Amino acid sequence: MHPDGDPGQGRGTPRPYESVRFEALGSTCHLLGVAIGRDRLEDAAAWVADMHLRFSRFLPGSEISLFNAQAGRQVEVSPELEAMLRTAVDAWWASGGLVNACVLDAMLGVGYSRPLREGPTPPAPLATRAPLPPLPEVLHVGSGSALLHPGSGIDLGGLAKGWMADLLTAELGENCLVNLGGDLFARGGGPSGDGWPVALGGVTLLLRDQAAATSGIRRRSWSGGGQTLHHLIDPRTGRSAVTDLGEVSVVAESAVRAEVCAKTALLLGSDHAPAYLAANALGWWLY
Amino acid sequence: MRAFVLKAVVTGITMVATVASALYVGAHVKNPNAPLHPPVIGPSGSGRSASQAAGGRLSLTPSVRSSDVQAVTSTYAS
Repeated sequence: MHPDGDPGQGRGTPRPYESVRFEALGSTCHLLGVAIGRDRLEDAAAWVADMHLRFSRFLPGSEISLFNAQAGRQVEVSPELEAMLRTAVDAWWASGGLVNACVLDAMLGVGYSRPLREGPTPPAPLATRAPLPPLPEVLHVGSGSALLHPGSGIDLGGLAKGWMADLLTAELGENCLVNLGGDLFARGGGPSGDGWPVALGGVTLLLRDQAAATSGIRRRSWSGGGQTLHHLIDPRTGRSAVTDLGEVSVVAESAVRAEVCAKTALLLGSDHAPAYLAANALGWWLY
Repeated sequence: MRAFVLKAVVTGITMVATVASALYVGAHVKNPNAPLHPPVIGPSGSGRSASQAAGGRLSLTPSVRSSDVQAVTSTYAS
């Protein structure tokens, strides 16, 4: 418990809040809640850890790995995987195709075949990389089942984090914040009632029923085959994106939308990102 | 005789449709290298504030407020 409730001075004495921090989804996660018991936050953390086991592409027995392994066949999928796959298709449309979850082969091609703390693997020759197929052409999601075309592979990446953050805040209570590796949703007024204070782009923003996400190429980059590589794949080339932006943070109505906007803006570059974000986001920071 | 005419007409229609379809598809080749264009139609963003922050450009609509209180968490690229 944080009895001082330091953030906020807007509406009298800030209320105390509980906070749980843990490692999952390849990053640090942070759950906070006002009038939410620590046991509930710890249950939520356990759920996130379980979701990591189910949907990490690095685990050969995970649901997403098994789904990818059965490409070419209509297979049954859990309600969670079905929802995430639908989210991925929606993201493709919302981004004009720039956020494409059918990115697994390209990720492997740039050497991102295992968690980066274990180091990248040698990249494939550039000549073998190709534009990604449009996601709706290779992924068909039905009720309780889905079909992935042969030769395709799904990596949900930040979309899964955003989807989980949106879902978890809805489940946890009226006044909570779920931050899953930088993809976050702030619900309610926070300790002060004015909104949850969240650091973004070097300033503090008060987020109330709003979400934020950041996409960047500065942290996860490496060299291979004489090139600088990173995990942001441009679907137009199938290669690590070439962009004049290093990092984009976005505030939006949901964590999924913030994630999609941040990634799309990063791929668009500084010439076109502002117009796109002005039409799709509530706030943004371009670096 | 009528059956022959009918078959000839149907064959002719089929051939015309086939040729027309081929011409249409040939004139509308999908270009895999065409740039993708996400939608930019939406709110105009009037009332947006813009400033420099941490070496970057920060833009906020009126629905997002900044504050000088200490943040409890942060968004970051992971």
